[in-house]
Amino acid sequence: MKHPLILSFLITFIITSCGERRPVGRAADARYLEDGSNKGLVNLEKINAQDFTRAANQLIGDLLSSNALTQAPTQPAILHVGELRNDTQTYFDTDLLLQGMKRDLIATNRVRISTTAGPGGKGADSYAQEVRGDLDSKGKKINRPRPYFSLSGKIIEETSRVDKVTQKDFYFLLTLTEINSGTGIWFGRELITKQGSRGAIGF
Amino acid sequence: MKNLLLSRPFKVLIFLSIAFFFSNCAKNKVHSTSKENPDDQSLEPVMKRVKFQGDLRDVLIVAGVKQSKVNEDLLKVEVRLQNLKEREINLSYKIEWLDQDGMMISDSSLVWFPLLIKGGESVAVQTVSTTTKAKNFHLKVQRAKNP
Repeated sequence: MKHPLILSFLITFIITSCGERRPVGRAADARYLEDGSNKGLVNLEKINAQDFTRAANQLIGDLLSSNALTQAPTQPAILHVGELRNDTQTYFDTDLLLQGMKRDLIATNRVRISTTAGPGGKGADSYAQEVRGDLDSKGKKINRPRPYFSLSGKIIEETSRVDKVTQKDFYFLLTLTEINSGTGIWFGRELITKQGSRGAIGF
Repeated sequence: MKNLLLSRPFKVLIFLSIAFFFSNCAKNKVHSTSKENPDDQSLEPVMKRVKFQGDLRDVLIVAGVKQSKVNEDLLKVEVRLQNLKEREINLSYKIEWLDQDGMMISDSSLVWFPLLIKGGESVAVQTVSTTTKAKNFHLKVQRAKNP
């Protein structure tokens, strides 16, 4: 080596640099991350946990800012959370988005979410539905709150490439329908775009 | 090799590398600010510790804060951040909601968002509380890992 001094300096510089430390050999490096952390993996090919939380937060903020939920004559109004179609290339349970939104919506005290009403008479909680059916058949009085709103939507994925750079656009499109009038009263759109040539740890 | 390690230029380079590490890496700290008085319901509430220190000093300022009510009784805040430099800065931020007693409210706002501010630009970040218990908020800002 002609310049051992420069080589030594480079090695020292790399060791003390700010770059992400990657596991060497079999070194243990697993750790826990808090929900919503900015240290999680940023992967291009799919929607990750932070993306779901981010999308839920932005959509809820937009829905509440629109004041659409205050239009119900009785409050809290009953909300039916319908189908959220996954039109992306990867499989995931859409409850990853919806459960976070339901939690936030319940906290607003503007809506109550029906778990025993659904398309074809199938609700989310089959046991509660069965018990209600039994009580009804025995002539016992049960409340029959009718949903005033219905929330549905889809998630779309678009991919673009220029040279070695990939861009993934994930559109979260939700619609709030007022069931009485049969019209949409809020159309939510949240776009999460990720761009790069390969994944990263944190952002 | 021994001569190399003991040479003066090498020692100087080692010192510079360590100084570089501590000046650039070790201080990517989280900066935060919140309302001075949680009961302040005015349109433009007074914030505490608006001046960012450390690596964001003279780089980023809170240019303005506004709050309003949406959905009849839920607090909405908008914080305008301004980049004082000509180079763009990559940040991550989050806004945590606090109740009357200063306890954190657990909802979907507990997530970091990426934020790119171009040179000289001011950008508004908004959030809406999901409960009437929310009275104050913490804005947390940090330089992004990948600038």
